[in-house]
Amino acid sequence: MEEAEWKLVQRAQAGEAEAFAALVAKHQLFVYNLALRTLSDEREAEDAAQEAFVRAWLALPNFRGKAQFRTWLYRIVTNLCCNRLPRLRRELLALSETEAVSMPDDAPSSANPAAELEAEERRAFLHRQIDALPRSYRLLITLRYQQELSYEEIAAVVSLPLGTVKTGLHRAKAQLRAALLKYEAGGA
Amino acid sequence: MSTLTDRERQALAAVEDALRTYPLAAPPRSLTPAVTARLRTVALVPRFRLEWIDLAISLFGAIMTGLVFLLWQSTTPEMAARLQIQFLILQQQFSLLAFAPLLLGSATTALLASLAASLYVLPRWRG
Repeated sequence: MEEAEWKLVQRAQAGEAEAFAALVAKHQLFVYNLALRTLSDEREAEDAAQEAFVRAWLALPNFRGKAQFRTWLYRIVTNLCCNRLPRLRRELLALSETEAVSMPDDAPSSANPAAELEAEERRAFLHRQIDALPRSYRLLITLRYQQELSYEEIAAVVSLPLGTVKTGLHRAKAQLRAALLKYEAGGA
Repeated sequence: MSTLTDRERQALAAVEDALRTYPLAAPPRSLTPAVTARLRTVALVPRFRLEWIDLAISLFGAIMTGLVFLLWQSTTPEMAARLQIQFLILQQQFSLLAFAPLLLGSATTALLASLAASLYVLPRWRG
């Protein structure tokens, strides 16, 4: 954890509301987006984000700094989302880890400027497809790509084995890839 | 492991790109003020921490309770009768004056302990 953030956490633990407000301001973007991507409703997401921060404030005295503050915070958000959507926990648990999964972290990127317009169109299509993914996949994707958490951190946040997290992400990407191939085959 | 075709590889790259560029939604402006307002209505629960002294006192208490129980179990009728006799004698000869040195010693020790504790706590209290 950053030194400055840890100092803010310690001040907040001592009851300093201003320090906690600074932490809220720092993390609100990702907390709100995590709730939004999972709950798919702006009002619900705002409410969940507020609730998450209040719970974090109340539980802050028990935070010992062993994990990153953001990981701890995202865990609260995820638990709140699971409370609001009981099916989400079941969906997450249903992600099997039986598949052998290899996760290429650095996929080759398209560097052809001429295909930029086409790439933009593909990107917009894929963003719509991401919105249409099951909630459990959206949750994992948000944690991985928007919050840039490691697989280990994601596993800690959603309380699932590492293999299940990797499988979930792999399947989400496979689903997106299949949708893209189908889209391109239809458009060609 | 299955090998990917060029088309699948390109699709995977496009998926990775889309995932990395998936836009973040701006949080409502009211979020931070709303959280701050809600924090004012809830009191911060004091941190629950077990210190070494808590554990030491618990251990001492547990050992003493066990000892009392063991002594009680192993007391023979003769010993119990002797204890009863001693207690009766003590009751008959009771005089507050006989306890004066003991009471005075206890009071002095308590006073010194309180003073030492105050000297230890006061600088921390002032911050």
